[in-house]
Amino acid sequence: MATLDVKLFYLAFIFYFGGFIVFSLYVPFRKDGVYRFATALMALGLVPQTVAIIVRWATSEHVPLSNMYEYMSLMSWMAVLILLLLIWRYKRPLMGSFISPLVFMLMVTASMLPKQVSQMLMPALQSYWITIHVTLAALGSGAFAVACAVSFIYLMKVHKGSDDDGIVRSSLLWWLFTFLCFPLILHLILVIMGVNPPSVMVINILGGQYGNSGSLAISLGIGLPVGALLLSLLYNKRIGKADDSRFGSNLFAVTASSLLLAGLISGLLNKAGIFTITERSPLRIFEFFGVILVLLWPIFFLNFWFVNRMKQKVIDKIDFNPELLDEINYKAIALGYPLYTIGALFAGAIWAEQAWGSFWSWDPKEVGALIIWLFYSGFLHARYNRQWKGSKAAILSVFGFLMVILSFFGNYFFGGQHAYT
Amino acid sequence: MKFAIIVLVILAIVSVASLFIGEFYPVTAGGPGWQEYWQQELGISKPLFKVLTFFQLHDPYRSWWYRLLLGFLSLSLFVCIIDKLPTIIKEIRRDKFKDTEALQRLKLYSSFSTDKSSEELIKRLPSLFRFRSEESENGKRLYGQRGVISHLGQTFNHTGLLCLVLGGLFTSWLGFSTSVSGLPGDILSDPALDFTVRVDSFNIEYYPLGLGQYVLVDDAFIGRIIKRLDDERFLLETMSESGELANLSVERERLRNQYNINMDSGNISDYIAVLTIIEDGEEIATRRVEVNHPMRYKGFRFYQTSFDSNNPLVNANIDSALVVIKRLDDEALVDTVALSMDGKYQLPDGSLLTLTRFLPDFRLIDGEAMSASGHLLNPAVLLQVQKGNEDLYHQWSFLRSTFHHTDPEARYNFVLLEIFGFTSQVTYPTILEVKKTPGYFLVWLGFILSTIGLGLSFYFTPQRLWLVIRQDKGQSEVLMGGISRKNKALFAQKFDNWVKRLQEG
Repeated sequence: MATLDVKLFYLAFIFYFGGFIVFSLYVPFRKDGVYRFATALMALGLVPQTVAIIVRWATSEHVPLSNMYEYMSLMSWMAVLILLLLIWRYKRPLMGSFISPLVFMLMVTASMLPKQVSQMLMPALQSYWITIHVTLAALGSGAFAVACAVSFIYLMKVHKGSDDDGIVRSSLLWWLFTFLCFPLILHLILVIMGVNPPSVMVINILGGQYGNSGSLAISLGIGLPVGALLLSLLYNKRIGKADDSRFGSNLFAVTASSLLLAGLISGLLNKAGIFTITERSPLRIFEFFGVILVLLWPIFFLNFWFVNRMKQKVIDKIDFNPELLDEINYKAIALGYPLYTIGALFAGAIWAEQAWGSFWSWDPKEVGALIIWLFYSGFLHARYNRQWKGSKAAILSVFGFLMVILSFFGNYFFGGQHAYT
Repeated sequence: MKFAIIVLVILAIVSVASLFIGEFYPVTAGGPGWQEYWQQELGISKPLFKVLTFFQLHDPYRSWWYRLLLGFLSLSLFVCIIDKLPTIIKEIRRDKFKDTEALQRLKLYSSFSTDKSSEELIKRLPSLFRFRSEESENGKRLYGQRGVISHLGQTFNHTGLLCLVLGGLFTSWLGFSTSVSGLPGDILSDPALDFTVRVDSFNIEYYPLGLGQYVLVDDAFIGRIIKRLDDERFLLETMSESGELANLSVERERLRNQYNINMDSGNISDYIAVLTIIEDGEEIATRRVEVNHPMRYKGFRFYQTSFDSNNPLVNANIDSALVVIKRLDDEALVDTVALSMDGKYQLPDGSLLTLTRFLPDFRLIDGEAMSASGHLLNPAVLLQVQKGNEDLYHQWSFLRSTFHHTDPEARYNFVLLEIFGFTSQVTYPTILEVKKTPGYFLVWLGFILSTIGLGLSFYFTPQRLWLVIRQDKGQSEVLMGGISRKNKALFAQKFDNWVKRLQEG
């Protein structure tokens, strides 16, 4: 019973999925025909997706950017467009093999979100500033997504694969400590202290319901950002310094990509009703993080094993100049940053002034956008003034995109003026 | 520079922390009863509370130390702009021509010989560059540039940001904000305003039947419009009692749109108020204020943000009411009469019964009877019993329910059986935000400057090319070098292409 635009969206989804599969096949089978076919599939997908956006525009009688599905769809559209431009301009088809999975993940995310068309925008949303605001913010985020994908390749690529086993072992132990032991110790401390965060998270598996498991989930959830911070510290202090072995960058890329995948899967599980989180609680975001952390463990080790198996066979044979990847990372951010600044911050503020009377009201989403903006501003300054390039720039780019995703889903966790679905 | 980064990092950390502080405390600081809530419910002791309020941790974004941080940020932005400006100017004016040695030291450098003349070579140079040439003893020297204006981008951008921060600070210090509410005919005033504003009219506009809208079908069940089949029929999505979704085609006349103001607020398309500004008893101007279209007067802005759904002015009427009259002592039926509004009926004891008021949604608010909405949710009539000119007693009679009298004067009991000819008209008070934003133009200047700056910085790339062409026996010896501030790998690719184009036929 899907409407025409949703059917077209799924058509594009199938094309992108095909493109992602064929681009993956290009990694082992380096035939020009393979990548041409994959590129063609991506380009073919762009057509129904563009038509879907236009159809939705016509049926809803306003620019289709009033809910999260529409936003995510435009973001993936932008990422595909940049992917095609990069392949055309740099003639490096392998870029597609790394960007298309991310595009596919964005499409899966979009497909999970409610897609009902509404012709009725609340009065405050009827302004052309919102069109500028949301379009530019979505396009900017799409560019950040590409920068993140390119950074993943860079981080895999610079890792020479000649690691001292000791470093690998101690890093993995540190990983286990930050993401497994630390959250559990935190939980133990909370239990001993008698602190029991109020939580009514429910897990439904195999017909059974396991309620009130949330306070553990909250400890695990707090462990996720803290673990990420500790891992970055490790990277900075120990592994990043050992120049001959770039194992840290490898570990970071595997962790971050596993985190994206775990987030996506936990979203799907939540959508399927496997677990539900406490309503209207400030801690609910940590319950969600807790689920992501639990999923992160198996995904990380599978991913780690897979990447290191593929390392010598595939990644080392990629004929990329790391400097070019670094430049594309910078270029994608340099393309997205002005769009994001003008769209998410300036146009949003102008619109808020017209609708509610103040440019800035410290709404949770505004704070999120501000922090993302500060982060990317920091990235650009560090690059310009301190020559932060290569691994450092790639890691910042990945972090930035994780923040974009977090802020996108912040709509579900924080209230405020941006609480649309 | 370091100072600016420290300030920015502190700002980022504080902002994230404040996000959670706001989420944890359900009672908004500054709202009614927040101090008691913090002290009693959250168990915060008096001294700690004093510390918290000193640092304004309940509302960090508006605290003095947050403003101080923003002040430091402005200062470092200002220092940065002044500090960088000479370098930028020097960069724009920098070495126009390079001699052979300087050219050879460039990272991107190439030399070759060709049989083409220097005129022909100049024609083949990339057209996006503006070239100047001069003759020297070593041959013809050429210098070309594009996008050098890009260097000024950061100055524009930083000045814009400075304007934004200062505009925000001005507004938070000297700004003024209040909320006023009133029905049509009311005159709104505030001590801060030296004029008053009369509400001439206030209308809530609704969307016509459209996609995604919830509608009431046959006054029986709710559906959501998912498709317009033709001019008269809609496809609705409904839910059966077992919770399954089903589609249903329904004619237009069976649908009701504005069935409940609180439930269907998603159907509201606009709030429109017409306001007249009155100063010293004189009407200055009449303006239409809509959402997203504020009114401006004397530095104040009036924003139509919402309406007060809790205090509607309900103008409801009925033609007549059917009332059952019973004696109070033995419950014996006296009569069943149809009373029109203000219509009278002579009771057996000689007193007169009058129907004086009707309320469709009876509610007692502060001891006063009023209608909470314009819908028949709790219909009631006021029945007055008089003898001569003296009021004996009155009774609110609710539809089909018996009322137990406690009034000693009461001799009869009245039951409202039916009402006829119900009409209602509801007017809501408008809610207007009144604001004074002293930093308004500064903020706009900031947006414009920053946008120009971002455009210059990111969509222009300063690139320079130098050439030395020496003519020797019909052959040209060419030395070529270039510098790009950004996109170095791509520029190198292009540079190779340019060299090839100069060399080849």
